Amino acid sequence: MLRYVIRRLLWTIPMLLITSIIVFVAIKATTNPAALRGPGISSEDALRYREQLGLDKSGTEQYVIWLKNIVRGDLGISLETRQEVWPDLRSAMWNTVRLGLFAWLITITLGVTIGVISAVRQYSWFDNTSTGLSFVGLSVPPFFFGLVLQLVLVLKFQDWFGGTPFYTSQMNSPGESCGLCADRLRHMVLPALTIAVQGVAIYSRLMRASMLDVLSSDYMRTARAKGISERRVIVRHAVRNALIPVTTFAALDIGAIIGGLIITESVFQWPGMGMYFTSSFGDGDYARVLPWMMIVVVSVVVFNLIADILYGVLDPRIRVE
Amino acid sequence: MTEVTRPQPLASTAAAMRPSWSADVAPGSGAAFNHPMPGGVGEVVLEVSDLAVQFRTEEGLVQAVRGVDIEVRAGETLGIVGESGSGKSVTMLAVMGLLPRTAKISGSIRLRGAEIMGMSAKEARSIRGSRIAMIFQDPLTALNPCHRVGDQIAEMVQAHHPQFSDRVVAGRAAELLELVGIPQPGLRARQYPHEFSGGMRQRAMIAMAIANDPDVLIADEPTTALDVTIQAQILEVMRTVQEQIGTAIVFITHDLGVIARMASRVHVMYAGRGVEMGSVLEIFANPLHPYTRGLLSSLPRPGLHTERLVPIAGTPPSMLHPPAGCAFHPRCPMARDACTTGDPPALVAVQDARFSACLFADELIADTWAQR
Amino acid sequence: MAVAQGLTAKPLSPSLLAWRRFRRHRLAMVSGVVLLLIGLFVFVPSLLTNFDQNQRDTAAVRYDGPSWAHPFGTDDLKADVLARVLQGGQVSLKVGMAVALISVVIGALIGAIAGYRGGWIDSAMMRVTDLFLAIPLLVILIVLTRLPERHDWAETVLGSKGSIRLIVTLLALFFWMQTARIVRGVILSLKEKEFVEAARALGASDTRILLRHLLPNCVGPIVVNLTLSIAAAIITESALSFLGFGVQSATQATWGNLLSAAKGQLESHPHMVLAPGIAIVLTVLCVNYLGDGLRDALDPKQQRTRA
Repeated sequence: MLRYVIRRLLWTIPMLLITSIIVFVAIKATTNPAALRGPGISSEDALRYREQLGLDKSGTEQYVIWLKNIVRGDLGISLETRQEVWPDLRSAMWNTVRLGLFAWLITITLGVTIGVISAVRQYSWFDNTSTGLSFVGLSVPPFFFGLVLQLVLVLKFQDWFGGTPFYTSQMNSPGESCGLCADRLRHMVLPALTIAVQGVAIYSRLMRASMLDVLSSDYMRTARAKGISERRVIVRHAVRNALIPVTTFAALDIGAIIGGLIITESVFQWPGMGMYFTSSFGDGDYARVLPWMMIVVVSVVVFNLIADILYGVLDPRIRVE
Repeated sequence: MTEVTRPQPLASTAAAMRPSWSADVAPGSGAAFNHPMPGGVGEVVLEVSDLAVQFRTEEGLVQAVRGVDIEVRAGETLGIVGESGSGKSVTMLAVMGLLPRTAKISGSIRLRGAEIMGMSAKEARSIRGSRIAMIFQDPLTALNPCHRVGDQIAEMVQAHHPQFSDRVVAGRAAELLELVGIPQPGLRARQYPHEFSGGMRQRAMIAMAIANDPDVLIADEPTTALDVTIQAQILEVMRTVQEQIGTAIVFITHDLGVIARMASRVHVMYAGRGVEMGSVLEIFANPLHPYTRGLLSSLPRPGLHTERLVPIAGTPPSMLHPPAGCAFHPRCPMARDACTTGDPPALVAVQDARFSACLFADELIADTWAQR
Repeated sequence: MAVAQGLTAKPLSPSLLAWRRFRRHRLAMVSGVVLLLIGLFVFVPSLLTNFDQNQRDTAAVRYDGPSWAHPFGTDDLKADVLARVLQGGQVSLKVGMAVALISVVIGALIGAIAGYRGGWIDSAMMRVTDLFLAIPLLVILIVLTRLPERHDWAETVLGSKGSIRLIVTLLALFFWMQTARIVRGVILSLKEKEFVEAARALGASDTRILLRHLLPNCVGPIVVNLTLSIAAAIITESALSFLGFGVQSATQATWGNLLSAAKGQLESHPHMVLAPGIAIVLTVLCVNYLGDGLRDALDPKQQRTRA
């Protein structure tokens, strides 16, 4: 097992390096920092600007310098804001993580429970209803669902009831800045629901499929032949085994949170990684985009590794490797 | 060093640890289970009367079992023989209460005289795994791949003896593994099923099944998925276990060779009904039903090089629409008009302790089979 | 008649069986019909409306809500929203189907070769797909949409900025990977089966084995993937347009850019948001149901005993 982990880790490092090269090349090729200085800039000024930024050096040199800085922890200065990149990036990260984990917790509790019940009571009204709702959930894109939620639960709510407990944008009401408080929660609910809708659909289908697979296995019959209670049969034998693919999927899912909320954050103006990306890439500010990309990639790769390890921990058959 | 050894007799500590029978009877499990000390050969432990099982499927009602009568006596080995689709597994699954909800079951099943058909789920669970146990065909898929082998055996014990601590139960699991001939039982108990070989897995399943000293052990084709040499070992294990514990064994198989080795009595099934019953020796010597004769004729026999194999003509019937009368008549060389109509013929005694469902069994008595 | 006694029914051909199984899925059948209707109305918009998507109805009010003349209302330029949704649907559907078709064909071929041949082709494919799975799809697409702006070669190869061709090319460039992995998986599992050995023993060439024996067995997953890709392509195109990176055109609507333009009008004129949104949801929902029905119908090992 340990050898497997070490082997995967060793493979991860070149992967990250190659990805960083691709990212660097791609971002440099698609951003034009000179445009930031305005269209009316003189060509000598533009040249001087480029020299300042080190853009006169060769691509490889630029890459190596950048890589060295990143590894040392120096994320550079934003071209647009002339501020250091890290503080803003860090708060964006934090905001996204908060929203993402909150939504993910809702997703996984609801999704797994619905999946288990659907499988155990296959073809019942519960199963058919949840299957139908899952299809709808998978078919409603978050950008539309978020808008609908805003429309119904905030705008129309206000029309009908005079007020509303939810907010359509930002993390806190103006003037407030509390963290774990009611105001924050009221701002988080709608975006979290938007994220959770697709998530619950996916996880419940996944868990249901996994459970059905397990429930038709021979060892379920053996478990029942032991005379143990049906609940124990379901929980200790079926659910425990069925959770394996779901857990690894969940690990990958968490890894994808940090870069995956672009649309929801845009709809709800949540100042997280999504908005950070759209604004900095829209500006062509590669100094802000590059560290962003690396964080996202590292997160995905790390959680990929965790997912693999988790799989080995949960399913003893895999450990034979 | 060989991987597996001959089965060992029960250690004395195990015997001391075994709870007294009266302590077993949990309240509400039915006072009818105040069974006496095991033993008493000849006493009927399991009796199945007129069992019928139907499955609702998309194509219609499948009549898997159409009226079966079986008797199992203490300490004996009863073999149930039949092709796939004869209903042999379904019958015993019905006894265990392991059929899916789509199954309609009727008839009577009595364990030591007490009716278990129609018992509440809770009562049924108290019998399953403690009074009647079952082992299945493929031990690889029958064991949970994510639980250790020792834990799975321990679960069997704790389900019916929750008063014992984890440590005690783990010790019992290791002892059971030793009983069925698995070396280094303590180490093996902590391993997972995929780390066992096929034969060892089946031994472990046997160990698990006998953990609570059941009255009846049902074995559903336990050797079919194993190599021939391993088969012999497993049969040996089952023999030893039976001697130690005194459990009756119901051995389901399509392999007549295994029946010859293991069983004292045989019940032959075809198309959901019993067609012949009697002692192994007598049935092999002189089968009294055309189907049994067909089965025995289709066995290749070493030493007789000149004969051709004689298969049974035709194909097994569909259980959606079984033939009227005797279900074997489309394939029977002796079929007459009387065989094609009416209810399927019943198993009747045609000789001393010999039963046949053939309407013309007396012709078969005369037409002796021996030395064919 | 002795025929009826205990004999099993005559077996049917696999395609007939599949069709029968499909017919049992009422929802999938209904979805198929609805999709045909959607396709009909989208490509023949005159069935539902007389207006062109860019035609301004001077008789109407700006941002009007639903009315008889304009069932989905009007927009800020007094154009008929229904017309815009229908003609926008042409783009969305064409993009969806084009992406799905191209990516599935490429993906199936690459996946089949990688799975069958193994070796460096397989490793290369797996590494490449792993790599691109590490970066969120939306991010990659957003970045790449900017490429033609800055580099002429990209403009010729991929398509010009904001064009439909660019979007189709980019989406297909990344959608093939999923199909490839699935097909590779199926091929891998089938490669070792006896019928392949038998074919080889009869002297069949590798290409023949692939095309005549292995790929036909992948038809199920491939078809299912096709439908899922259509749904995913429609949604992704809409997502990109919503963020402002998709098809950019003053005159040509797509469902995505209709939503994008409407999001500022949520409070005042919600009908502009609901119209394209519902179109997307309805289409994708039907495609998903259809795909589910197809999956059940085409999977030869499916058994369902209803309680």
